[in-house]
Amino acid sequence: MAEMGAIALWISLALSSYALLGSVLGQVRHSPPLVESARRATFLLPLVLLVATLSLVGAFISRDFSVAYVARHSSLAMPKIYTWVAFYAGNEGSLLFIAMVLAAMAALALWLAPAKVRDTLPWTTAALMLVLTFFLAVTAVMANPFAQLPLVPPDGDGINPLLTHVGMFFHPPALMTGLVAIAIPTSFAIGSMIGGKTRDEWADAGRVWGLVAWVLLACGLLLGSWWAYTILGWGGFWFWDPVENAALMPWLALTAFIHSIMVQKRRSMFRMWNIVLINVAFGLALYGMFMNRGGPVPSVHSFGASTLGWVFLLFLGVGVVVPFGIFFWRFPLLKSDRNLDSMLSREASFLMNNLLLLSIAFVTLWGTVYPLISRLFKGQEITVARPYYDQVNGPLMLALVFLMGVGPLLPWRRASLRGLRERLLLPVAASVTVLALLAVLGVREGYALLGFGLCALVAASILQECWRPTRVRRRATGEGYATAFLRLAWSNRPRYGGYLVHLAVVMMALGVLGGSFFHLQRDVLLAPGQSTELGNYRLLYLSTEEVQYSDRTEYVSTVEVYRNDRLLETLHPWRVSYPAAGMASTRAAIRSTPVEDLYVVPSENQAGGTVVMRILINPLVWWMWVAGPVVVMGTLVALWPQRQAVPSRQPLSVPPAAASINPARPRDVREAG
Amino acid sequence: MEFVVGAALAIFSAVVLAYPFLTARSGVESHAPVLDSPVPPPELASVYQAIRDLTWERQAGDLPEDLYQQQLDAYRRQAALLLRDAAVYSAVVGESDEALEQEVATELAARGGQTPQSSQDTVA
Repeated sequence: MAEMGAIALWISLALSSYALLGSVLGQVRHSPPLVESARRATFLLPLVLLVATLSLVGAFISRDFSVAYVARHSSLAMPKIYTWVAFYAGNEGSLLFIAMVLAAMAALALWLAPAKVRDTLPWTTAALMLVLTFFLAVTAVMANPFAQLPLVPPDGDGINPLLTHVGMFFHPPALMTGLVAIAIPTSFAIGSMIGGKTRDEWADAGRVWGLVAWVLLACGLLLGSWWAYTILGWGGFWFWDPVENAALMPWLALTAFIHSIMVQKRRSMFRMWNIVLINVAFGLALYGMFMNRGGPVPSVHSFGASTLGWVFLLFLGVGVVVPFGIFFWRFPLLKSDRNLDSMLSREASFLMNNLLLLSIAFVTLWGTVYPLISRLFKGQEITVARPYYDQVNGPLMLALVFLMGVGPLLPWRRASLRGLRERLLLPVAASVTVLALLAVLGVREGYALLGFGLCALVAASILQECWRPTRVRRRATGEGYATAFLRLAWSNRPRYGGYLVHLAVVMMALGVLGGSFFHLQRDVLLAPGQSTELGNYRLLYLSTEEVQYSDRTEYVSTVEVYRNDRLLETLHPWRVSYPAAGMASTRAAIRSTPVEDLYVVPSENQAGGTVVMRILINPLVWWMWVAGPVVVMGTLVALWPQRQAVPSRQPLSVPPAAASINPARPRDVREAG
Repeated sequence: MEFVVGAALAIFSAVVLAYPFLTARSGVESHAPVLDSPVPPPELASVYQAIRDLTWERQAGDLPEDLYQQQLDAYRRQAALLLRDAAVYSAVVGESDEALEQEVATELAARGGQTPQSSQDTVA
């Protein structure tokens, strides 16, 4: 298995190098067969890398401890179900995983590339293959997962206990795939610029692949938060850890990009700005990979001690300098056709949204690199903690939520104050009502009040934006409300998919506000039979059962939850000790409802069944996790391809109402020809 | 066995990569992208899409009437020009459509926004 994997890995390195050189030389020398041959190499790569991947998975399944990577990340006691997680648990396997998904996505992107970028595809291919060749070269030369041990150990070291969680099946792959997927829109931008197609040719492909990377990162971040919430035992979901931040920053830049690229698609504006945004997102993604792999800041997420840091730092330099170098080279050709007509327009709101998102990203970047800078210049490491992020990013995020509510109400080009006032009336009324209600209920936290008020504003503006056009369509066509709304949403999927995602952001904001401002916490030492109270709950600790396994000892506690002396639920939080690894992990028991989470986790097990319990009440956190599927659904709606309109040969002199470009009958247009 | 599979993979890859050169030499038509070839205007689809969006936005009250008309006119002109370019393309590849050329020219002249050029001018 291992030999075959190693051979496949080297073949794939040869193929990606060939595709890179072939694309460039073929384009420069005007040799179509060479360009085509290089293109075929990109389609072969996923196949060859699949062979390498399956070889490594096979080595894990058969517990082939002659392979050093398998010996370090699995053991005979490891449940077979975690084989997939073990595959990317270390630097070597995760690099192979990244190479495989990048190869697969690159092949798909090139295959599905729209006709308008066809002429520049060889340059796009070259950019993609440069990134892939880097990963494959590092994997083959410096972190080969197929390297063999001189002596075969009888058992392996085992998987990191923190990774034995269902979230680990999706969180790392989603993040790794999302980070590396940013290379695709970046490559389309680079390819178009080198090929001299400096107008809006790349905007469609850039938007689609930007959205793909965005949703993958969003899912990865949410799943990571859920993992931290349930396994790390401190009751929170976001720690502003350097590596968490490293994944958040490119996501923020991408969020800016997927909004801004819509303006380029619709109005041929922001051409330079979009190139800058995607380059920034790519640079931040490379920075994230550097932090994660031998980066200088330790984190629960990083791959521990690694010698790969300098290679990734070098590639980060290349990944920033080259795209921006090409951008400056093509700068004179990138001027947009139009300028902003008014600061009170949808375009301007997109621009403001971009600036806020980038501000949050750079505030986060500053907090992440500050320990390094302080160590370099002051000789001592000063860590930036949560209060910094809360104080600086908190107001920026609230401003962003405000813009999310107002932006969709603004028309393109320019808004009249009167029109805006009319459209803001209902959302503002909803916001004020919520504020008043909360104030009556006794909420006095200024930030929280503002946050909930803004959430109401966004939700009301989205509902209004769904209701008004539905009513217009219903009047025009006589359709029922549901049909009119569904047809309306289907005819403009990017817009209504976006609204769905905005609703999900409101749900996440509810979770963040509830968990940050209204949580209750108690750490308490309990002997069997003792009870404690928190909020409206009474918790009766019954016992802890100790279960021995070959590699670990599990302590499963039983806690009954009462409210008003009525038994609500019996919870089983547990704690696992791994003596060989010198580690312990916990698994919180959570009674989750839309109103609040009751969170119980054992921090320490003592003699005689006594246990130190951490108990929390986290209001509204449930909404955060429900938001995940809504984000995915909204993105799928936005991404769902429109059927291509076929140029009609009907006479253009026919009045537009009867011609195929009749915009009042979109179905006719789509099905023309 | 593993080396045999590895070698087979390498040979298969080499054959796939060599195929375009072999077909080019033997005169078989390759699927290689033709460099700098004229392509029918794919932008037309996005112009149609833009017109649809524009109309829905006006009906939803997002656009005042004058801006709607202004943008709609611009999009129509753009579509007409693209259609004319498509006809030029057809002429280049040998599928002339003089009737369409005439329609586009009439449309542009009627709108008074552009002076129609002949396809020959554009090709030249």
